[in-house]
Amino acid sequence: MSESQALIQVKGLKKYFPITQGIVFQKEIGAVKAVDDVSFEIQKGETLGLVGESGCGKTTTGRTIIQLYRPTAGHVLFEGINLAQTSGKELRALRKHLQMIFQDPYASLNPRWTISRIIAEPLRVHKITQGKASMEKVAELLELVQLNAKFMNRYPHEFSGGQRQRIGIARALASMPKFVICDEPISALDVSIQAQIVNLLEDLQEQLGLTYLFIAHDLSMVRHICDRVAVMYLGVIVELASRDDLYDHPLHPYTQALLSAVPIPNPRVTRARKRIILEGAPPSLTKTSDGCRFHPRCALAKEKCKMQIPEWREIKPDHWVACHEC
Amino acid sequence: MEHTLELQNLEVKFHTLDGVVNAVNGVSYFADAGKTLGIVGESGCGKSVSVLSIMGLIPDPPGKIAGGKVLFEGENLLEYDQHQMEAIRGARIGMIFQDPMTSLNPVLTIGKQISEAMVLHLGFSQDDARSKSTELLSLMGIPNPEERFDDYPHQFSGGMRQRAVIAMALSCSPDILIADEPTTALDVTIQAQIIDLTKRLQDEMGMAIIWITHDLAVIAELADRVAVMYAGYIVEEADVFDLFQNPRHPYTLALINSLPSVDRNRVHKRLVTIPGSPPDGSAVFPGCPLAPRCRFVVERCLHENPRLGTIEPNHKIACWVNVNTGEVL
Repeated sequence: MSESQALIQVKGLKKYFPITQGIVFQKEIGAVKAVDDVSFEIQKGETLGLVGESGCGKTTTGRTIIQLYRPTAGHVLFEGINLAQTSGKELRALRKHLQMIFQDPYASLNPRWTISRIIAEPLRVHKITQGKASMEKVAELLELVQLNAKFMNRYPHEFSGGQRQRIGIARALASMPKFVICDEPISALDVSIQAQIVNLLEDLQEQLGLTYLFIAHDLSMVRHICDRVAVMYLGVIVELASRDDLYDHPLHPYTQALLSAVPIPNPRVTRARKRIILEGAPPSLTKTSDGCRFHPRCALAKEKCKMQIPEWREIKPDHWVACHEC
Repeated sequence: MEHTLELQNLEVKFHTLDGVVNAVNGVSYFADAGKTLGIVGESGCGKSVSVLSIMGLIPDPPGKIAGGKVLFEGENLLEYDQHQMEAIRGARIGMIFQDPMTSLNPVLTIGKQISEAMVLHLGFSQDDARSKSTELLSLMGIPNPEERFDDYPHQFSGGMRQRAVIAMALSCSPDILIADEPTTALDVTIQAQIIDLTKRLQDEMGMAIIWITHDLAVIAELADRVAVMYAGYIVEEADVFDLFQNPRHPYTLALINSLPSVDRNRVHKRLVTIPGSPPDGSAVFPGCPLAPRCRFVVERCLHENPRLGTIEPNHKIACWVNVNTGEVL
């Protein structure tokens, strides 16, 4: 794919959160390296999946891209504009192109606001429509997410989880964004509702030409919805490849272990295959060791892995990996 | 053969300000030694309420067990008083809850919490309980169990806490282990560790397991028999291989179809959805509770609720329609 097709380009992105000591005179005594030198591109109209265990920095990566957190280092280009260096005012103007769908539909909607006010908020903030025109737009958006427009004067508690998630999607789409971050949009929903929301997200992408960053830990759903998938471990991306390539031929030992841990909904298949059980749990982000971050849990770890950070390289076309042993 | 535990026509109701919620409507299932019964269903389908009734943990009021029996070694646990139940809970029936952070007491050490049941039920001395607890912790794969014994829950990671909870549930070698969504709050790699561990412990100790989850893939991994619940009813019950190969209830079929396929030729096809959302329990249906969402619905479904009946040996469904032929039974 050519360079000009990329909607989002992330280069050397870092986000450290300081750890401080003291109350009056605060002193930095360390840092949580939540995102540590991450680079990737998202092409126009594609869905990039970002997977990994909890605490690996997936959400922080998403939030740093749309500048909800300002990056410690590195830059994020959106249509060639470096978001990391924009002022507050410039950023506000750009924000309508960058939206987010949150994980918990119970926590992300203001319980005291009506649905119409919630969805009209981005329209008001970005001065897109006002008054009666806003209400027409809200009705249109509700229909877009397959909710009845007559619900617009109700409050969030009157809706089920799946319906609330649709409202969250309508709000994210109100300002006609080009790029949407879906941060675990289905993990709080019931199984029978998950498929409805996934289908809706796919339909909307097709209708509106949206580009998604899909953050999730459900690897089978990621395989279904994403075009390319990036695997994160402790603040770094360890592997990035097209969906089928990654799932059929995972190269990084962590990706292999992660994929083998996913249960398959077929008793014959799931019981017959060999699993790689990873020992222990991911260590903390404050005490990252030298070398490859995965080496303490890796079965293939050699002396080199403890000393040297593996290079992020394209091992075959469109398949990137950071591992000495691949 | 007598089952280790058997539920017969259990009915549980909750009396709320908005009216009576029928959480469990005449549910029967059983668990056998060395076998795992998987119960699968969406939130609010009554799967947790049914096992809380076994343990006598339904808050009354608002909850009320309106009928049925819970037979454990031939005795009806519902007739036991508080004192008798205490001798069973933790000693003969162990339970693991979903969230390991809220099921551990944050101000007591892990070791203290694991030893408690052994001191209480088995009359162990503190020293004996300590050595048995460290043994259990090492069996659970926790490194340096001697030192970790004196740690508090916040010093453990999520996966380790869940292991500690399992150690606690198994400390008195119960006949039955009830696991209520034990891996839902955990990452897949940790989930794989916990499933692996539970299977190994079952092989060694031979207890019956009732494993509740909403995740069909987890069920496929570890259950021997499966009961699918919807709106307080069991709608299908079968051997695990049979259930996935030949689902006969429209709800089970829809649940299996709504999962993304693992077959790479079909993986990017549109997902098959179940329209609408599950009923909230206070609604009363004259007919089948699935009727408004079911694509096989016929006239009879609207005014008559099908009962769970055997269609093949070891395979029961509650449905008026044969989903393979479309024929009305």
